[in-house]
Amino acid sequence: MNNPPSGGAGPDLSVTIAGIRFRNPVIAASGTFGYGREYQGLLDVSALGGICTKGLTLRPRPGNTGNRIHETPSGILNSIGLENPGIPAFLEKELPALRELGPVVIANLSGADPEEYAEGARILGASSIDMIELNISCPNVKAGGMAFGLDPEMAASVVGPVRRAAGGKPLMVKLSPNAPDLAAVARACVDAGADALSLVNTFKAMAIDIYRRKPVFDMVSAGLSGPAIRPIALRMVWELGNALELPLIGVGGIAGPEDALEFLLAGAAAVQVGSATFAHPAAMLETIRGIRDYMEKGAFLTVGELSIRQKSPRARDRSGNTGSPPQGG
Amino acid sequence: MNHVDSISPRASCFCRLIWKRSIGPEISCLEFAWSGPAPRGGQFFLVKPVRSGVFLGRPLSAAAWIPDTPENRLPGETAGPGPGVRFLLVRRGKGTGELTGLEIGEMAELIGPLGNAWGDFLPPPGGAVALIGGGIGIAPLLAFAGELAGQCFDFYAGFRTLRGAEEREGLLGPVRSRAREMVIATEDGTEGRKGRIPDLLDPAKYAAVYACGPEPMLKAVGTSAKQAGVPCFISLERHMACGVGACLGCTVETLRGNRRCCADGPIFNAEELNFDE
Repeated sequence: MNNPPSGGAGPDLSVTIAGIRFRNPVIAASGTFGYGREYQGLLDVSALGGICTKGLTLRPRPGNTGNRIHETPSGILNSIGLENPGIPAFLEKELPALRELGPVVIANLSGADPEEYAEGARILGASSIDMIELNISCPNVKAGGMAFGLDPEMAASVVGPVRRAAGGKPLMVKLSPNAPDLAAVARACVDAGADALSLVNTFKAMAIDIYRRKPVFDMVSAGLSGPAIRPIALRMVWELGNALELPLIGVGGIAGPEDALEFLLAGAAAVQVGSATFAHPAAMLETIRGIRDYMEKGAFLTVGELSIRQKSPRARDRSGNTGSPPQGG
Repeated sequence: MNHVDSISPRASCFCRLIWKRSIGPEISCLEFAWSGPAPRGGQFFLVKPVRSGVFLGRPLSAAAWIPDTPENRLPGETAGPGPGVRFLLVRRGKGTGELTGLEIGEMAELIGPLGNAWGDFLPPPGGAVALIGGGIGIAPLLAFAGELAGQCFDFYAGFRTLRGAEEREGLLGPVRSRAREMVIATEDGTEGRKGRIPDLLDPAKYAAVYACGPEPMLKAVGTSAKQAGVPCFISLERHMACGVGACLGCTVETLRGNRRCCADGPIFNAEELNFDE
């Protein structure tokens, strides 16, 4: 429903994804915003459309040893290793305050094997979070450590059980850009029951300390994020939009309104902002304001109208209400 | 009280460089106009020039907060630029290189004040304390010295080398009159005593010791304080991204588990740290 604010003037920035209404299409990306509290005082957190939590696993994890971050040109390499207090501690200690902040609460779920993922999904599905974002870039420890998200069958082996365990909770799957066939992985996630897809997670990359003469990271490989990856992430959103109808949330190096608008014009239903917040805490709020300004100047009433894609009959319905595919696995 | 759970006030603003000075060939002192919350000694800011080729702000300890009073204005000014915050810098890489090259009037984004403060770890009143700085590590201790009552602390400063009185006074002048005793050491003997500060320190004389500087110095001071049974608090450095405790990139491994240098520190009780690694 497009209900403009009272007075009837101005664009409607709200978007509805998998039945969840976001006041605007700007979401804080997982791993960059803690649980929402850490940035209080530096930006008005309540103005954000949504917050993705730090990646959660069923059991607590200490994360990686050694260096965890390393700056690159227009980017960051990270090897945090999913340090988190575990899902039960999150629900007890972090979720109550997070709920109070206002934005849509999206819990990012990770795991080492389908059973751990599914049990985590079951507990999150029963909680008051609004949506689950499923991180399939984790290594499958039972299959030699290859990331679930690199292979369509392995991805489905996680998405299916998570979909069933999560009950009716909306499920967004976060794709890895390192997949040799991203479209096939995406299609497998959709077939296994994803309501939406977020793309992309970090690119596999590395650095070497030439003075110590060894890799910067103990795990050697790390994840690259930041403005340097944005054109690639955008291309991936565009190409998946050719093949799929479900909502896509664009992530990857977005630092301001022009960047976000590229993804919205490419057909993304919303965007996530991650590394940019480190460099400039006001980035997300400036992005929201800039999207509004662009829509006012161009007389766009809803975010869905921004897309430059050929409008299919279903796409035409995306002006503020994307609908959602049937529930169930 | 040694840990504050609530987040102390901070802000993120674009700030003008209003004063700069070279101290010797390697060290710069930069002052940015800052009308946000005043930093406490030990706290730091993330600083990034507006015109920059690097992605992240650099964490810099506040060396001083300069209120806007007539005696702090520059010669000839009738109105000041408002309060300012000062940092000491050594050019180490691209980020610090950019900062040391800033011209008066250029803008940088400052986020802060961040982290905990030395003042969170004061001993019961009565005894003297020791402030121990190595090289550029004296910066947060200068800020701490400004908060302590005069004559209740000894200031130890160690350097690889000092090139004459101008460099020495440029760094230590502000604190000299407030310290009960000042001990300066250089490894090459160019100023003060020849040698390293930990060799000149007897922690048993103090109610607490506070240290910031190179890791080997911190390890020596921490070990010596522990042997003397004296509380010891250390400011650590880590590469940082968010600076506010959100990204978990600046981990300090303690005996009680992982801590965040930016939010749980940068000041830690030396007893929590494992110096053997």
